[in-house]
Amino acid sequence: MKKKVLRFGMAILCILGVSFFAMANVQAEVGVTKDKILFGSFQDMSGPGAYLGKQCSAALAVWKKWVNEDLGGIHGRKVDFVIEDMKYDPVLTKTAFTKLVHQHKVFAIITVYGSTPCTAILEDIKREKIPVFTTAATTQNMFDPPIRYLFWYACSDEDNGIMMVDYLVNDLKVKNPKLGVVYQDDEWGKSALKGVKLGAKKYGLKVASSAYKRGSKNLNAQAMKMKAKGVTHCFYAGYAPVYANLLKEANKIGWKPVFFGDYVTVDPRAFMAGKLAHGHYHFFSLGMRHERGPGWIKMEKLFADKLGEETAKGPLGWRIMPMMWTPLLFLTQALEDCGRDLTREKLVDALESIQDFDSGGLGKIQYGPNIRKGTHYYRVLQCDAEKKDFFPVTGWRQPSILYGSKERPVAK
Amino acid sequence: MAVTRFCVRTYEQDLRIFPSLAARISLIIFGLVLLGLPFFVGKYVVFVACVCGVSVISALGLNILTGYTGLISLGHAAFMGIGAYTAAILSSKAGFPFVAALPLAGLMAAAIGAVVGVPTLRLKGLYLVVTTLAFQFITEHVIYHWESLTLSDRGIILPSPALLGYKLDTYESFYYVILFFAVAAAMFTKNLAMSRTGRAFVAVRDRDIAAEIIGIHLAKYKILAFVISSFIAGLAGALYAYLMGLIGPDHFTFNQSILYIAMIIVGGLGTVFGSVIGAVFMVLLPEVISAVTGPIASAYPTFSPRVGAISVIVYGLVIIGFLLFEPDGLFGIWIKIKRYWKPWPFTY
Amino acid sequence: MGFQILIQLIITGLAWGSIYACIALGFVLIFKSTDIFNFAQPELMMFGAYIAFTLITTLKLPFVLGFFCALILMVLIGSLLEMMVVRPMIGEPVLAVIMVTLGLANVLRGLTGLFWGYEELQFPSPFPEEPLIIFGAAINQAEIYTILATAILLVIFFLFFKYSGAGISMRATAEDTRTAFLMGINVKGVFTASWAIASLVATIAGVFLASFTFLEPIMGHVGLKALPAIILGGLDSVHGAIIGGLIIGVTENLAGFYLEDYLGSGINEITAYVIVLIVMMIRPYGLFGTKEIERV
Repeated sequence: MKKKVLRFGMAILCILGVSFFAMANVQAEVGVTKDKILFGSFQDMSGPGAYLGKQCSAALAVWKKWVNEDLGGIHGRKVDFVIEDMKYDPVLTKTAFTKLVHQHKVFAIITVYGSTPCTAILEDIKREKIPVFTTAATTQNMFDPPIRYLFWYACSDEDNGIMMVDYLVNDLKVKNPKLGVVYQDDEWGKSALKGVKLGAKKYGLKVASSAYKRGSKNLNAQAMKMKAKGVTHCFYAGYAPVYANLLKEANKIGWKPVFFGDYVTVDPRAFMAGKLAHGHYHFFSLGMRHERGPGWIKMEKLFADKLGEETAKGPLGWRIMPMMWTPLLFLTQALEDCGRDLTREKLVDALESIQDFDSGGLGKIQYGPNIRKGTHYYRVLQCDAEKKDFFPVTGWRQPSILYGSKERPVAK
Repeated sequence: MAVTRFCVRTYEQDLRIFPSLAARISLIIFGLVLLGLPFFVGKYVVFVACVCGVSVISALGLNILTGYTGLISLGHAAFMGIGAYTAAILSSKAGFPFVAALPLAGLMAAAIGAVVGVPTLRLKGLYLVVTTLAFQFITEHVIYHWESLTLSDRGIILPSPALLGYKLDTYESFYYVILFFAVAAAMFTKNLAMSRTGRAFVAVRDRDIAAEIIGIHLAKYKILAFVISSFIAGLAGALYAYLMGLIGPDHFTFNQSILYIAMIIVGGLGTVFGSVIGAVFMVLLPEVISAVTGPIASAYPTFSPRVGAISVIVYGLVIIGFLLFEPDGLFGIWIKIKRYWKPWPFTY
Repeated sequence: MGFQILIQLIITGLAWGSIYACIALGFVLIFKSTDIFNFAQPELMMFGAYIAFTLITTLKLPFVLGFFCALILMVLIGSLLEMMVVRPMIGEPVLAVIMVTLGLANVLRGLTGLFWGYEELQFPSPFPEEPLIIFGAAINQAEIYTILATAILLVIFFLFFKYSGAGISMRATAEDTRTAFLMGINVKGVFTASWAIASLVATIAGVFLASFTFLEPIMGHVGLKALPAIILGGLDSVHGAIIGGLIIGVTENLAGFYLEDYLGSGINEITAYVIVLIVMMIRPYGLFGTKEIERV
């Protein structure tokens, strides 16, 4: 019995010791020491978003090396980061967030994505007042109404939906199109539906819609329904492999509409449908690799330098690397603007105040007071299945309806 | 479950909640450690402890149904979801206080549990398993599509709970609420198992027809097991909702149901100790794995997808390894250790 | 138009139903002989499909050869798994064994992620993409082949269990393991054989599923639909599993088309479970299951 008590006592002492060590490390601003800034990120490493996790991790690795080796740190501080796995699950996201904030005590959370996981921590972000600088979202409610600490580099599907109708009526000049939306039945898909409906209302058109459950692969019923309603122009909101499936399904039942995919479908996996993907349209807010913009060339070179030619091929092969990389460039600028005396509030102000950021043709990124969206301009791309790439058919433009409850940045 | 009776010599001893002095003293020390925990560790550890606590409560509920009564349910997360959504809707829309929302969440889940319990009178074994699975998926569907009430996947934000005018808005303060309920649930289950009802449950589990012959009202006890189990699940769900601060349909999926089944099996079926230790084990296992893999993923980010896969493999291997080594679960290991030390120093 | 829509819906439903049926078949075979509910069955399907993928794309084998090699490999893997993981658990509590298969499912999923990554891969489908037109209804050829393959499987298994020695000993073991053992049947062999056959049918399901969708490490989720299929057909009935799978495939596709407007999107995903609930109310042992008579 005595032994047991002794053992318990030892255990308690150990716990005490460890926790005091943890507490002793008191800092001026959380996550900032005199020679290091610690960032956190949660990634999907083994779930449905693992392909994004891979790219984000690569971008972060390159960014860290670039800042520390080439720039010599930011005002004398090196940057570092910790990554937690969240498996695209809201509970694990909350756990990862809590761990980053309270255990690793990071300064800010960067390069995270996904509306579903981030919904789970909206309240915590407000409470902890920690800047979260994310890469991608599709739903309006992520940045509207804006949360001071949460920044998105987002293409909302409302915008994409409105742009589809604009493009149909004004550019393609289709007479009496029959509009349809096939969407994943979550906030993302509902955003798309709302967008198309807004556009359709403006031009006096009608919309047919059909939803599929996330994770579902059998789109036969959905495609049949669209065909039965005689849809000629169909918007799709969802992941690219499912888009490829929908194309195959449409071909199978002899339904031949023109598809419009949101920015998530600008993805090499769309070519899983082979030549069926040819000629359909997509909306995209980033510069394309084949345009050889200065931003892309610089990014390519950095990736090849820091990761090695071979390793860099994988992450760069996807067309959305600027979505991860541009925010990191932007963040670097904001951190430099903050000066040596770095605080979270200052960072938020710095992110807000950068104007006309030059991304080198990677896509526009800009915030402002109460503007947390980041993306404001899109292009329409057309898919070329032979070259396995997407080519812009319009210039940069905004949807004809600026939808949202708060002020939007004015087009320049 | 023969092992459970090993350390007992007389009936009085069997009827005691805490069999020996040593057990009582170690329990008191354990209790003190739990009480003092938030003072010694960081916020994150307290948060994980809270998740452990909720899982313990929920696992105890499932154990009453599966461990004691032998009715396997793959719909436990759905009951939690019903409790969580009841609490969330009552507190965010109707402004119910924490103390009122909590029991109502339990009652709501219990009421639905009674309905789900009815088919069990006719169904056995895997037929029942799949029926509860059906309940799980249908509940998920309803939560997802009853948008006017549940806001679908935007989720419901819960106000921070308050008790007697004191705001429980930190993990540390809410930890004590969860600890209280976890202890209460454990005491309740332990007592229940020793009451007439508990013994009736065990009789139903071991041979339901024989139990009926000796005068146990099958319908009553099977449905009662469902009611009690889902009440506890509903309560756990409500606590979970308050802990998370925001709940959505993805919080209560089929995978969660599997996780709870895993907890009670890994811990050891039909024992309170097993549910507690199993729940803690299954919550901490991913933590331990990520404590090892996390630094690797951060140091070699291009390697991180591999790390994710490896952690899934390790998770599976640990479960297989444990059960191959000791099919009665962690409780079985505990008993083995006890049995080994009991006659000490006269081991042979 | 309405008639053609119905035919198209039913054919696609049958094709998906065939996939469910093949997975369900694996579940039932293992359950019948060993009383174990193998939660790793959907993962075996996935693993089989991935192996076939590697053989066909990386080793450049022709489709049929690659497919057969994958079948053989999976039979070996299935037997190995049985011998290494499941056999030591014989005689232990059933739930513990089920839990072990769940752990196995995790391991297989992790291995797939490790070897092939988490991105979706395109499976080299051998079937022509152009649909066949029958009675004005356009029908995918891959689906026709899937349905045919399942029909052939059904016949083979019927004959196997009815007439072959191995089939009869499997049935005997299923009936009463202990007596079968005493009668000199190689019960261990039967256990291994049931895992081998289950892996085989799982691979067939996986390859067909992948050829009209794509490969991903979470494709096992489709396999969950096999659970209502077996319950619907009756747990211990091989042809019940197949018919249950087909019923579920067809009704969910019909429900997805006709009921979505009334009951919300995703209704096709839960149709299977609603059907199961209804059938369980009427026949608590499934459509073709045997009613167990319990003696105390």
